[in-house]
Amino acid sequence: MMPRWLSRGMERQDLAPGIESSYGARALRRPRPGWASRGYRLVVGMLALILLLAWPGATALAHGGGVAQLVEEAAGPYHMYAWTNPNPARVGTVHVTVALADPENQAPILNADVEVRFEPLDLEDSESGAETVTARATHTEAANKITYETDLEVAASGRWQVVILARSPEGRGQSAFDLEVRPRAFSNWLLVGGVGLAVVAAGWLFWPNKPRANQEHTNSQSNAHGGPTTVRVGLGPEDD
Amino acid sequence: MSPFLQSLLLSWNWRIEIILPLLAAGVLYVLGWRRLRATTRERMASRSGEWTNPRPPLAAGWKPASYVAGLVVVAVALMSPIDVLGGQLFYMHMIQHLLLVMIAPPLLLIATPFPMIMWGLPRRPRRNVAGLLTGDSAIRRAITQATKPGVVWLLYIAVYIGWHDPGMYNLALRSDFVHDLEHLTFFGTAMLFWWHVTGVGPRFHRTFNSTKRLLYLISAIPANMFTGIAIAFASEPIYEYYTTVPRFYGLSVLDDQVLAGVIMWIPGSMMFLLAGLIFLSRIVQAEVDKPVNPNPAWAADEAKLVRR
Repeated sequence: MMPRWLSRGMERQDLAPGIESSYGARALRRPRPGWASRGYRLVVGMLALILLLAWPGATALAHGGGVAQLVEEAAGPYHMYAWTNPNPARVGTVHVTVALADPENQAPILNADVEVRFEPLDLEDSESGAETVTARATHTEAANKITYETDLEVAASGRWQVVILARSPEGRGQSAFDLEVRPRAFSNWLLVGGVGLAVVAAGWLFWPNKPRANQEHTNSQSNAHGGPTTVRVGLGPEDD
Repeated sequence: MSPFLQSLLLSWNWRIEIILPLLAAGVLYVLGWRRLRATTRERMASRSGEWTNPRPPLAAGWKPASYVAGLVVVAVALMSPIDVLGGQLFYMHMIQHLLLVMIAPPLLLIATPFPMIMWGLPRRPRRNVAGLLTGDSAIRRAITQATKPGVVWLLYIAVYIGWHDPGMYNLALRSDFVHDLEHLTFFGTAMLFWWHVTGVGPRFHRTFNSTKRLLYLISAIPANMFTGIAIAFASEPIYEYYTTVPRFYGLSVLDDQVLAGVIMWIPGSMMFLLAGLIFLSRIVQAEVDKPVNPNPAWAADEAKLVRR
C-alpha cells in the first residue's frame, strides 16, 4: 500500500486541468535499455577511480593556511609571514606557505625567489640519517597566488629548523623558526571514511534486490512493468 | 591589469573532491529532468492527442537553470578566490558562508532536486533508495524524527552560532579538515532548514502553510542578526587568526571585522526577509483569491426570507 505522505503529493500533482499525473509510476514502468545501466556503471566506476587517484594529490596541494610560524618578521627588505600545515607537523609531507610584504605599505611582493630549507636540529632518531631538505616555494603550487607555497618531505621526527630565504630585485631576506615534527601517524581518516562510504553506497545501490514474496497488488503491478512505485517520492503539491 | 589583481583573480583552488560530487549531482539532475519532461510529454500526447502545455510544471525549464546556478554558487564559494581570500580576509570568509547558507540552498531546493535525481538514477539504485524511504522502514522513521522542523531549526542555529565561537573559528582556519567540516555542516544544516521552508520533496513531515513558513523564517533572523551585530561592534579582534595574516588589502583587522559583521547582519538577514516577503505575498494573495459573495445584500435580507 502506498504510504499517505506519497499519495498526498500525487493526488494534487496535475499536469493540466483534469489530468492527474503519476510521474513516478510512469517513469518506473518504462523499461530502460541495458546500455543505460551499463553506461551508468561505467560512469560511476570511472568517477570513483578518478576520485581515488586524484584525492590524495588534491589533499597534498591543500591551500595555504595552517599554523602561523612567522608573523610580520623583519627579513631584509621584507616583512615575512610563514605557516606550516598540518598541525602538528608529522614525518612525511609538510606544507609551507610564505608571504612577503613591503614594510612601508604592506603591499605584497610577488616577484621573489623563495627557498625553504629544513635543517635537522635535534632528531629523536639520530641514526635516521635525515639530511637537510630544500625546496623552492612558488606561486604555481599555491592556491592563493599572492603567497609562495611548497611541500617538503620530512624524513625523521624531532626538532627541525626551517629557514626561509627570499631574493628579489628589492634585496635578500632570511628568517627561520624551529618546528617540532612528530612521528608519522595516519591522519587522513576523512579520505578513508569518504572512500569507504562511497564503496558501501555503490555496493548497496547496485545490489540486486529480490522481489518480495508478499508484495501487495499495486506494487507487483507496477513492478511487472519494470519499476517500483517509489519515484513518487517527493512529488507533491508544491511542485505545481 | 596589475600583477596583484591578476594574482587574485588566478587564485582558484580546484578540488577534485568538490568538483566530482557537484558534477555527479548536476548530471543526475539534468538526466532526471530530461526523462521527466519527455515522459510527461508522451503522457500528455497519449491522453489528449496533442501536446498543449510544452512546459509541465515539475519539469519546468527554469528549474535546471536554478539548480545549476545553485551548484555554481557552491563551486564559487568553495573554490574561487572567495575561498582562497577567506583565509586572509574575514569579510571574504563571511561572504563565502553566506553563499553556502543563504544563496545556494534555496536555489538548489526550489528546483525540486529529489524527484529529479531519483529520475536520473538507473532503475536498481532508484529502487533501493526508494525502498529505504517508503513504507515503514527504520531509516525513514529515523530521518523523520531527526529532521523534524524544530530539531532542524535548533541544529541550524546551533551550528551557525557555534562555528562563530572564537575557538572553533580559529581552529577551522588552522586546519583544512576542520575548515571542510565547518563548510559541510553549514551547508548541510542550511539545506535542511531551507527544505522545510521551501516544502519540496521528499516529504516526511506535514508541509507548512505560508504563515508557518513565514514564522519559521523570521524566527531564525535574531540569531543571525545579533551575531552579526556582536561581531561588527566588537572593539577588539575576535578571531586571533586574522591578526597573524598580512594586511595586503588595505584593511585593518578591525575594519575587516566590522565589514564581516555588517555583511552577516544586513545581507544575511535580508535573505530571510526576502523569502519572508514571498510568503507574505502568498498569504495576501490567498486572501484576495477567496471567493466573494456576489450579492451581500441578498445574503443578509433574502436569507432571512428563505428561513421564514
